[in-house]
Amino acid sequence: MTQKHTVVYDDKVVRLFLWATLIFGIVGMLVGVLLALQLAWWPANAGVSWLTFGRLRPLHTNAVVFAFSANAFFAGLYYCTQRLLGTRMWSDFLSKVHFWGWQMIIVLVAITLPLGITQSKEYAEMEWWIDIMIALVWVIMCINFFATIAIRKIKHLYVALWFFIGSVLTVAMLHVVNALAIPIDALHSYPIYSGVKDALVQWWYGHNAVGFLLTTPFLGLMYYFVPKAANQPVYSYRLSIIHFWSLVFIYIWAGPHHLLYTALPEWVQSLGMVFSLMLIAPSWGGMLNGLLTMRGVWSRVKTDPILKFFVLALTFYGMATLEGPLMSIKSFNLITHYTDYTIAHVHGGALGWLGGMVFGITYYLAPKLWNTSLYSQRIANAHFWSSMIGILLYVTSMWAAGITQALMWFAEGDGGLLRYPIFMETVTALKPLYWTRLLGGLIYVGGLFLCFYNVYMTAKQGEAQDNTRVEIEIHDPIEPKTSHEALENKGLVFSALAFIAVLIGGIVEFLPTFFIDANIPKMESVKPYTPLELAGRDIYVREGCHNCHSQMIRTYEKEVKRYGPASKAGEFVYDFPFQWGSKRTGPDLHRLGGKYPDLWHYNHMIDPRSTSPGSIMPSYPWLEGQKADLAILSRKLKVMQQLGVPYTDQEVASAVEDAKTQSKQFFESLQKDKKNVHEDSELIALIAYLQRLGKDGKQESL
Amino acid sequence: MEILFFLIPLSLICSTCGLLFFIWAVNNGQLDDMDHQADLFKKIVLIDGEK
Repeated sequence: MTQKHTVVYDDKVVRLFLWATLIFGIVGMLVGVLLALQLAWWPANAGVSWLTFGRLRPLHTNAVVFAFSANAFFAGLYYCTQRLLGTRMWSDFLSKVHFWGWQMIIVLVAITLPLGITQSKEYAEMEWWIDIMIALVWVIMCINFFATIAIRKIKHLYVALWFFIGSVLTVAMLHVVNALAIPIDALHSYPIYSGVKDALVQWWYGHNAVGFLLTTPFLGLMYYFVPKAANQPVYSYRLSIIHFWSLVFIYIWAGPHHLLYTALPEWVQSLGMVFSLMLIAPSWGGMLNGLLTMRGVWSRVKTDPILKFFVLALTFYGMATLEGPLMSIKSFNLITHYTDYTIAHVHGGALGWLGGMVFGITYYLAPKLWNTSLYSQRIANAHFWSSMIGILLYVTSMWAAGITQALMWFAEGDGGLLRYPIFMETVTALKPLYWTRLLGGLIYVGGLFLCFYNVYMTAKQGEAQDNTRVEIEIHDPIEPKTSHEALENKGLVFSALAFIAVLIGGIVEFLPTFFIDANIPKMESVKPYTPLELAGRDIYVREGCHNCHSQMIRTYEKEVKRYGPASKAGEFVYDFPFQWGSKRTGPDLHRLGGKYPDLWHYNHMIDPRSTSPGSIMPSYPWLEGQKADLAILSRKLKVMQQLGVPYTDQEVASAVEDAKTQSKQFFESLQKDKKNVHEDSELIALIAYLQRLGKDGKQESL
Repeated sequence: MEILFFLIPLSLICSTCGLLFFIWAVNNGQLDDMDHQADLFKKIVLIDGEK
């Protein structure tokens, strides 16, 4: 028995999200272009604090993740969900709240991050009050999504929906756990985790944000749009079952591969590495399932820009998901981590896989949303080729830069001495590659402008479809023959099982690290920061120094030769948040304390090139003029006390005075060198912090 | 190295469970139904009211 049934889809929200995708995509990638220019030619920050690399880099990453990719996912989510469930969204109002709420968050992020209002955790830099808004909007979206599943007309849940379910639940969990923090004032906060624990939670989040915001949602979209564009069923439905369950179960374990050779307990590192390697299987299963869906229609790939972009996306998905596990192998990770190799890897994924999916979907949706045909196939093809050329220039130059960097860091000359002991040599060698990367990025963004123009003209020649009315045939549900087929009809049970599958990995890695003390051995010599150092540390966090400088000397002989004794887990217990970093555009700073006189730091911050010729670091002259906010230090110490840092009540009460006393010492030391700097200036606080770095644990680790 | 005395039996138990699960799936007919999913797909995705 089949029933005729009329549905009116809400396509306005899809259209809004599509516009937001394209607009924020252009903005986010233009910021990326500016950053690329700054690395090749540092004065491109124009001497403005909020245009410096450390402040803008988080804006670029967050814009591409949460504004470009997430908006594209939402556009696809609303489009597919209504069609796959044979019903309109449960509430148009909630769809609207979701859209406008999300765009408001994006605008707030775009304002706060350049101002240095940041928690400094990568892709989670947003401060506590924005985090709460994100959680609220996400919950609103989830309510609408699951209520739509509950009122569905088509009982069977298609594989695309499984991926959506897994994604929205997991992202909610990741966001809440990683964002837990205690507010200091209306704008700022300290995370509840410190050092090793903070690093583990952050990279569990960071890795899986990539997994469940940039991979699984788009795999879901792939399972809808690729068969639709190819006009034939997906290659293997059974493979998609294996693909889904193994991917969501294994993905969550792999976070520690961002922390290999660090102070993270070794068993967690090995676990992360092994699960990362296993990820090849489900990832390639998914890639093959997508590519083989083109069976018999490859001739159309030659002409159809939609299929072209999908093939590009799936090919880069396959490459990135092979490269990622290889990069998780400890010995190869020594080369790829902290270098531009990582940058090549993420851009292969972001520009190739994500970009390919987003643009393919855009060209599929535009004619449907405006009830017309695409304005120009030729422009779409030009967009495809500019993407392709842009990616190749970008990725190959960064591969070369990464490998060059690592080989130079680790090269040894006569007598086992470092061949390039001056770090700057390993920076200036990369300049030509940085220019090449800029060119690649420009070509790619140029393509994005073509895409925007094409969609704009399509919209102009067509008529916007707010409510798409269609007649669908609802069939009697087919009697399920296997256990999984039965499961595919049960929304709630399916969601619960998917959530359990993603919970396991996190629990196995977190509980022992958090509750077995042997994992983070205590070090007697490590003492809390003084109030002034804490103020300096918060300036370090604000300026985003970790975007270019790590604070983690890995347990590798050549690393120790360059920087000093390897970092130990116990040294970071008072670091809220941890500042290990993930990229060394500049050298590691963990053993910086006491290495240079105060005067060196003064000169270096005012003009890095005066102490390190060839440096590409921004100058920070404004730190000298700005007064450090010392008045809030009592409050900061109080929060630290709540977090378990052993400050006495006396120390909390006298925090401001203590800071001023210590500040005076630095002031006098600089005055001796005829440098006039204000006593309470931010520069002094920052120098106090830099001079403390890695000092406590240095002796004990020898 | 003592950890091996724990890990080797553990891995044997895990792989045995996997094997038993596979044997169950084959005997139970979980892998027999070749057309059902393709039918579902055609009905849902290729005929959702849109060309």
